Amino acid sequence: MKRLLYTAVMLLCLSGCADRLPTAESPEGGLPSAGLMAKAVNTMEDAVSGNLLIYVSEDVASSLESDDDYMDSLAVAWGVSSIRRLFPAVEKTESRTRAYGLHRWYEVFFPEDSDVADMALMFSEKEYVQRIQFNNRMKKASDCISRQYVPSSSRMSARASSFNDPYFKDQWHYMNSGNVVPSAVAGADVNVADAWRLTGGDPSIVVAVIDEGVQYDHPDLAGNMWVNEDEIKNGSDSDGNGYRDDIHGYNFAGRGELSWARAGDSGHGTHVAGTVAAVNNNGKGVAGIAGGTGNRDGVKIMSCQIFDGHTGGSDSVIAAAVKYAADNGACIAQCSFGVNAGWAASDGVYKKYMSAEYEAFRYFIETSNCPDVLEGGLVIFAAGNEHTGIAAYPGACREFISVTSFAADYLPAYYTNYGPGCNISAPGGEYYTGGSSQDETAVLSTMPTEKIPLYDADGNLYDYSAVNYGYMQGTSMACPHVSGVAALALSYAKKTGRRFSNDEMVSMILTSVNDIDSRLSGSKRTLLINSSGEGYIGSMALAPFRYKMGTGAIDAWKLLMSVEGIPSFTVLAGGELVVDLEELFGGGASHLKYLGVEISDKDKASIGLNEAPLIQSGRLFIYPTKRGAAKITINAVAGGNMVGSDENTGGMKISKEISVLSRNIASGNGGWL
Amino acid sequence: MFRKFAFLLSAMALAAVAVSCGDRIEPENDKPVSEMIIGEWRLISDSDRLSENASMDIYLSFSKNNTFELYQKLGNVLYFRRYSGTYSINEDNVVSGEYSGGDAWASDYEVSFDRKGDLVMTALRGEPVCRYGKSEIPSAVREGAVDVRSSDVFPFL
Repeated sequence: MKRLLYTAVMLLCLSGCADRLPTAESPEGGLPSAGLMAKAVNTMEDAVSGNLLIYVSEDVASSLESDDDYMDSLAVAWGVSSIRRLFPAVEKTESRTRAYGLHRWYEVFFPEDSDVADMALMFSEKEYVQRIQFNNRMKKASDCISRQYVPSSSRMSARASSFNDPYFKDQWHYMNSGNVVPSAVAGADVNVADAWRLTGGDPSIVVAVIDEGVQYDHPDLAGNMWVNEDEIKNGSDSDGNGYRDDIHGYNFAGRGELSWARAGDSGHGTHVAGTVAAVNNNGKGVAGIAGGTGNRDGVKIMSCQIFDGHTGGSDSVIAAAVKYAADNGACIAQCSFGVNAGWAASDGVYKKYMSAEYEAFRYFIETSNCPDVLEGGLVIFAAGNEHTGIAAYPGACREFISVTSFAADYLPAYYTNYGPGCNISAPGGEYYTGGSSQDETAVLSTMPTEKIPLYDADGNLYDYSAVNYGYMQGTSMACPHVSGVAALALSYAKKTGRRFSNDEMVSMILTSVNDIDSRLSGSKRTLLINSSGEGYIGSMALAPFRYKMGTGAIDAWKLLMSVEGIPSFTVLAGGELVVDLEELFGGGASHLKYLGVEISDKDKASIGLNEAPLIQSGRLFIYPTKRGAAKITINAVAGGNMVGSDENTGGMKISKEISVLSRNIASGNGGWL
Repeated sequence: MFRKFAFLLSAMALAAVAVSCGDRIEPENDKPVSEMIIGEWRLISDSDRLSENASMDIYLSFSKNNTFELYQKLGNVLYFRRYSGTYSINEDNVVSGEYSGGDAWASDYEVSFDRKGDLVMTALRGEPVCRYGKSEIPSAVREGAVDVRSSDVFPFL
């Protein structure tokens, strides 16, 4: 009961924070002048005090960079204590930084008791200040409550693995045996154990965990931590990348060394990192999806710390962390944070309100740090935990993959967001699966090795975090499952010599899924929250989630097979080719919104297509009349009925290409003879 | 003079006969087609010109014990698919076969060999003609291939 109450309190606290965030319906709220209205990209609600972001003209940016006296005089003229570039000037990346205009973003600092609105008004009157952004805060997509892992010889929620990690048996989210609770379903997992036969990871693939700090010397993480080989720990910026002593990453919130166990922390970053790449097959602890095979072949974790105790999570901190990840080798940005769902109704509002941060993400997506396997980088977000019918931003943005959460019973977790902007689903755990509190139904991963005091919104100590290994729940925990599977796919692409464009890899991820929608009828027993914010056990209707959890439940094996490729479909000329779209788009294929089929005129003529291919009831029908070969692209939406745009929140466009061989003969099994 | 002319006429007649018989090679030393087909082959061309327009690679292997192996890569895939089964050749040099999963070949084929020794298989149904050149199947193809026993299964590697 105590835990039920604490959970409800945490949810209330998190949802309480939403009341102070700017809303899309009143973007002009609180802006006293037309000048400020024209330049301010957002509002001051829940803005960090004593701080603003400004975007200056090219001339002023050049003067600020070249003349320290000019910077000092501007600071005096503005009445601010300091000015600094939001994205530090780094020689080796400066030309790219400038090409994206990122050198024109500045952070200005003033006394915290200064009125942020007045400061913003002052800047709005400067012709050379083109944009003003209040520095808003984001939150972690988890209630941050961890439960201590206690090994048990009798419990085995996961099917056997070839790895010797002793606690893998309690990680149902990797290979669900159906035993963790009576309502658990075998197969409600990411299907990774078979994928491990093909690859366990590759050390050239770097995943940036943008979160609380990751405990880099945790015994089950240390072997897979990214190491900045060019940096020496000596208090200086040895490698000239703009940051001091960034050996395993950097603490952007605290502007210094990584930390993970300060008051206000929760172990969130260490837990997320473990799901991505806890070291596998090392005879200790847990397994991580891309943690290797025991041969030092796991992917690498870069800790980009954006939360530090009670501070952090602001746009400026996130923007700097994302750019750092891009400039220092990461190809996946793992982001278990966001604002409350419903804050923005379109991608356009997000991009405007979080301009600096969005531009940093765009920079990341367009940076190819694994050029031999992937064009650009992948950004993967948690969908949020407000139990709301829309994904939270930034994840809801059509350029980012947004992950919803299902529980060990293969049904939506009670807290998960769903609907437009949600692209795919993964195990996020749920303490109340089956209607009673169970630690083991949450996600098991690494935790800091020292316990962290946990405080409520009033500053009262109410609990301590788990130590070494523990359970957590949230779309925060679902998200690293997708990041880990994506990292595994890039590792397999490396192994097999395949390379993909960004769009191709996103499509492959979002179509390597198992059906979840057919289960969504009736109800399940779990935690519900009433209008007063109190938790109680009740029946949660499942129909509202149907077709809204994304394309389906991610499947690591299917994704690796997708990396391997799609064979041709052979058809008799003059006959009918029927392609079950589930073969291409995964388990949710029959419920996807299809945008149509593309085929070149040349290929149409090659196979004598007199009528357009038809998509109906999850199948593609093609009627070639001539012997020949053709490539056909099928387009669909992952997450909703329309692709997201600057005017709405929607899904991502995904595509699959197939080749068709039309012959006068065809065997029943696709064999050539 | 007449002898030279007669010789020339004979030679021209022989040449005409050779041309009218096409490129076909008569079995060497009375070697039957059923023996000449034994070995490993790689697709060179097909009369439908699919191999010019599509990503594909085909290897065939016919064994003395009337078994065959087919390694095919059709479309944007990484690994060859391996099929196997049995075949037989009748007295009219028509080969027919069955895959190990029970599916029959798409057609029976008339087997012949051209002057270069390439294997020519002409489908009796639909008439596509495929030409295969002698080629050892690379070990990388054999070892990396995925067995296909039914049309919708990719077994574990």
